[in-house]
Amino acid sequence: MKTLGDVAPKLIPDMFDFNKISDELRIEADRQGRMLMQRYEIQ
Amino acid sequence: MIDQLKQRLHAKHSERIFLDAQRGLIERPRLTPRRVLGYGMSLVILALPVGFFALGAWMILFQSEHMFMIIGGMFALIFAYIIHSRPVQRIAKEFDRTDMPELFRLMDAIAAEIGVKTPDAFASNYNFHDYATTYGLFKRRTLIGVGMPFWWIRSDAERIAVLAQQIAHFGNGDPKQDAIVGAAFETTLRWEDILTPLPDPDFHPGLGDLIAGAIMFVLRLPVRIIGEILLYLEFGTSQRSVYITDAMAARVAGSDAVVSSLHKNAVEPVAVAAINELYPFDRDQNARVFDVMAGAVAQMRTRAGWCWNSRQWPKSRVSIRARRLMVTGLHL
Repeated sequence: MKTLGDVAPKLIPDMFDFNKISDELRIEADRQGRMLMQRYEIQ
Repeated sequence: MIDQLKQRLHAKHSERIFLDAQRGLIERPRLTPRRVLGYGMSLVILALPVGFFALGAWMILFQSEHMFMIIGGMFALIFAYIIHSRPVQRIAKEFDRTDMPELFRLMDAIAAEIGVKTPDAFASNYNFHDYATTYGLFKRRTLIGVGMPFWWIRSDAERIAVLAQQIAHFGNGDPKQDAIVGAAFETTLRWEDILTPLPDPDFHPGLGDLIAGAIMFVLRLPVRIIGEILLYLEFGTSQRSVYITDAMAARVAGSDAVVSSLHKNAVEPVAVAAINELYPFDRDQNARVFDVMAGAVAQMRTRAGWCWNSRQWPKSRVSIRARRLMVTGLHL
């Protein structure tokens, strides 16, 4: 998707460990997931 | 030759984008009649409880020779208490850099590129949205929130884009600018909540419930209209602020990542449909529900039609933002 006035990224994913970020978020994601499904279960 | 022309236009636009973004950051938004009206309405809404409190106090303290003035004053005080503005409860769990060091390393890098301080905290919930806010009465803290579905359905480049868009809000000062109108709007939401009858699950609704419901509906309607007018008056300011944050995010994450990230805002129906397919719902089975959502979104190209090709999408605010970046190349 090339755009007129396209801007190149200064930060790219390779500069960061996204697997580690996902691991950091996982406990909260599981908690939120259970809360969401509890809501669906009640409905 | 066309490529050369495009390159020249590209360079020209890039320069203008940069200058516009700079100017947008330095100058305060212009005081248009809409903004004046928005602020005026907001101040009236926020001052209303104070007015009723003052009226009640005056009636009780200075007109106490008449019994009905004392009773009227007490009613005014109770009414002031019921309608007074309250901060929204902060129920989301907040995380700092000791909880999530790698996420904060990423946010540090984004904030450094944008030229703002890294947010103090990160929060998340199960909703399909993201937000930036400042809170605290004496010591102001900054927080960004990214809903889990928002995070999990995005590619890594889009995740940088979505964090950059939110962190950029602290660079154009709009959490502060929106504070008055935001507080007024939240107050109207609370009034609406107060005026919404709670159904009693134990009893069938009787004639009295119907009459009470009708009265509350009539009272709720003007409150709703006031809230909608506030949103309408605020549209220009908020849309301008997101144009600026999109531009700032594009300079960090690249315009392609910002555009594709904006498109992901439109896939909520696909993500919700993925949950519905999990029926019958069971808490234990679904701790990884956001992976299920991400899987469904990843499969979208093979499904019949992208949901942003629907009728509503081209008119949406997000679509306009994406087109701004995509078609004109103007990042503001």
